[in-house]
Amino acid sequence: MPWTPAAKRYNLRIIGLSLLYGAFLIPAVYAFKHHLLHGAAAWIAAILPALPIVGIFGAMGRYLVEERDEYVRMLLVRQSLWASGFALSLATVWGFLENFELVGHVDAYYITCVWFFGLGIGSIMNRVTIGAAVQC
Amino acid sequence: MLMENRLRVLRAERGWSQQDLAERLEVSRQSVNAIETGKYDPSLPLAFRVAELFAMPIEDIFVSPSRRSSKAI
Amino acid sequence: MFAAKQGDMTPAQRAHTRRVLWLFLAYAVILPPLIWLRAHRHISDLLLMIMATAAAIPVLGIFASWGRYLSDERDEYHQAMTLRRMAVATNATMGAAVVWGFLQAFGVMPLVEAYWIPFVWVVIQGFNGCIAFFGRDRDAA
Repeated sequence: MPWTPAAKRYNLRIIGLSLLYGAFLIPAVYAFKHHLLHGAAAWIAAILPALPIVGIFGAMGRYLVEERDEYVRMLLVRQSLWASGFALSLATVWGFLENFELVGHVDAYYITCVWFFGLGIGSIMNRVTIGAAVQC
Repeated sequence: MLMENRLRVLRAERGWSQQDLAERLEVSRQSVNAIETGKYDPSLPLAFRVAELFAMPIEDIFVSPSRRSSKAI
Repeated sequence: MFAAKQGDMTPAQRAHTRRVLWLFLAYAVILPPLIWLRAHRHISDLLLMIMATAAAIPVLGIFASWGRYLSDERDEYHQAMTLRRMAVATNATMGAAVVWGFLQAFGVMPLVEAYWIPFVWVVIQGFNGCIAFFGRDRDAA
């Protein structure tokens, strides 16, 4: 599938943000492992790796707005809705299972992995319901 | 995304309120307002309904974005 | 959630609001007995799992209701606005979850149950509704 210009820009942003993520994460892990940080520095070091991930979601939103091909955009919007529905539902069920002490606590950022997995589900649902899918 | 249109003028010519127009188009009043103020572009079916309601071609109601007087977005 | 006055809501919005109210009611009715049971009786793990799922179902129903609303809504402007609000809510929720997750992983903040994530999402949707209520356009009739 040929990349649209908006998709190319989106791709570049993702690559940049992923690199930034690695650059922030590795020193942070090292610092925490060796107990080098306390107080405000700990907060900053912990939040910095999160920001590129937030940026990735922002890049996706930006792409949805910039994509001029409305059909592609419609497919992606549907995928995202499925992803959100899936992630939120899973979080709900897991939360209740946690509350009833059947499963353990999980770090909150794993919900993003669930959401991206949900995009795959959305792609399948697109193919099933309207016979088309877009590579993300 | 501002698409110039003559909706408000045409509506006033017939003495219709936004609510009147909304009812005739079977949409909400907020939709009519958003379209008139250029905040929202109607879909093709809706644009056709508007044109048929006023018995005019679509191009006489909505200004095609590629023909805009100003080239600024 | 959608508009200030009852009269302003579209039929799809009315249907959705009604569904959500029933679901909240179901949730309020189902949950307390389950909590009581867990506190005062010994329950097997399997039964606990069923109870937890039962408690979650009304909430899942609320998300399903949103999905149904999106496909039911015949007014395209409201549909588009709702989609945009959901995208914003999802973005903000995911962002908050990521930041919190890193704070948790590095031991700066405690672990919390996963259902706070949908809770944040619903609250943000509520904020959007309030903003819509107070920031309504002054429009000419």
